Amino acid sequence: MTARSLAVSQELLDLKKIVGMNLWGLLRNLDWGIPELVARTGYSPHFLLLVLRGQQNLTLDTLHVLAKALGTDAYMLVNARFEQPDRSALIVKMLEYSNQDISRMRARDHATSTRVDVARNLKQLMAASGHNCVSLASSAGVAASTIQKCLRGLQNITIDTLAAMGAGLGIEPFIMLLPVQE
Amino acid sequence: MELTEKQRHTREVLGKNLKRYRKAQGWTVQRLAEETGYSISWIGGVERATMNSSTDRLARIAEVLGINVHLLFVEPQQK
Repeated sequence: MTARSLAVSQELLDLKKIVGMNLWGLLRNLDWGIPELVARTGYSPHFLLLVLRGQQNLTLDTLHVLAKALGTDAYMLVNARFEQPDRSALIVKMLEYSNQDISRMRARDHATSTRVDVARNLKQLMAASGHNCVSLASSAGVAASTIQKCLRGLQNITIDTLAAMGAGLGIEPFIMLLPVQE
Repeated sequence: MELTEKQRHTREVLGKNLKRYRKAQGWTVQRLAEETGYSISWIGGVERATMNSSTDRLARIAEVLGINVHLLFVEPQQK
């Protein structure tokens, strides 16, 4: 790895952390926890924790969704700096969400966990069958927007739609619901 | 809207499995309704394959029955 690419990697890492810390600050200002943000964005607790920890690469669309949920603009997530007088408390709070906590949240949040499993399985099945959203939508008789939302874990899919997508992929519907091993 | 053969079959498999797992717990439809918070008529409709349902609701039912949600869709000979 060259010195320049190392520097770029470091900047990207710092930007992820900046977004994570800004998100913490905005949540604190609103006195919100993760559940409130889950409810307002539709993202899984696991995903949001990775964002808060500065470990998740984000698309512009995701930044926009997060910002809108918080009642602000996307630039506040990447530019603003929050005062952290009690950084140690903030770090402890972040560390509270250990992998064990995430597993427990997933166990409690079966609906979200199922959506995550469907999203991951669907992505793999589409890749294996050479389908994109448009071709699968045509094959299954389902809206492409529905498939896109499923891939993002944002769709509460009906059983009839699950069956149609299974038929489009040439698989039994239960395969899309198989739990993904961490 | 007319259901496809695949959709009809999926509803039937789901309905049969839901009934089987519910009875394995020794529960009536009423008991399952109380445990999940869903209506008796809706649960009965799912078991009779006359009602559509969603993955969120079935995830809740699977949680209450102590099984993984995908098992509700597996035909017995596939296990």
